[in-house]
Amino acid sequence: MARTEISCSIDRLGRFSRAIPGYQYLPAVVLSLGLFLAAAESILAADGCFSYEPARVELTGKVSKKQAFGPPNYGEDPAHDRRETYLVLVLNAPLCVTGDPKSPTNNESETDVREVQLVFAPGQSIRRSWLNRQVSVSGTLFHAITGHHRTKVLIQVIGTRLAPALKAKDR
Amino acid sequence: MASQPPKLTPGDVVIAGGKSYIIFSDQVRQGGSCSWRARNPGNIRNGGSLGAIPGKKHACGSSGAFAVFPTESSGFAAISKVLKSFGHVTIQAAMNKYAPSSDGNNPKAYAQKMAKSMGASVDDFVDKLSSSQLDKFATAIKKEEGWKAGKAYSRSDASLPQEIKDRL
Repeated sequence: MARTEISCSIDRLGRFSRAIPGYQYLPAVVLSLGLFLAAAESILAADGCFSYEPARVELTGKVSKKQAFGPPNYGEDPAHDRRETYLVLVLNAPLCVTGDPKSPTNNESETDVREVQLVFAPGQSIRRSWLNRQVSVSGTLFHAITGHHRTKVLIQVIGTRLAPALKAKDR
Repeated sequence: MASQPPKLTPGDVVIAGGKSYIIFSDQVRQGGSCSWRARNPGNIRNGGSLGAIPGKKHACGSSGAFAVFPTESSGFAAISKVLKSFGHVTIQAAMNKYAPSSDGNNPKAYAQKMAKSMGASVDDFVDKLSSSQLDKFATAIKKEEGWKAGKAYSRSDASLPQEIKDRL
């Protein structure tokens, strides 16, 4: 009886593999995945810190909306300064980023980064219902350059997804 | 014996009489907008690699520190350097990165205004813009950042606060 089941299973596997178009490319897919994982590992430099763009990272934390003064005097003249709203990801764990000495804008290393401002591409945004919830954000990191950049390190968002809520012991 | 306060050097910021003065090699600036006072029309925070005076920062308002540039032209040139550092991105994407928005702080209209000023579309790529277009882009940013002149003193101006005159 058991022998019949094994035989049947092998038989099913054979038919299953033939049913998937492009199955012959599986080795290439496995190789690509391996290369991707190797690249992902290189995002963390030897010192255990992240790298700035173009390395892609994924960070998880709580999305929070904040407000700050903008031009012309960034809070020196509150009555006339613009008020700017921005989104940050309050990270579950602080991170560090290693500067690139060759970059004109990303040459400063940063440690103890606890919040990163979210920068969206045109037409991209985050669901309002995701505010104050655990979200994983993938993208590329860059250092604050202009007055509109409110955290030491920012992330140019590529994608977002809702993450499982933190358990009390992990908060 | 009391020690002499150190001489002021370009990029130093002095608070005198409750006002903020920035020292330059050719003048002293007070008042006006943050960008004008620091010769930083793009309100760039870290300008050490972009031509700003190394190690000098101007804390303006409640939003942190900004770079101080030795001349207005070096501060202006830094805007184009920042835009170019964004790489192969559209004007719209560059503006989103320069001044990130949330809930319509500065939506598409902001980038459209920039693009119009240089005779381009928001979908044109920044790294394909001519020098003249980049200058117009930087000029539009300077305007958006609120460039407003204050009082510029010559370094020998007798009306400068005594505590500054003594240290120039």
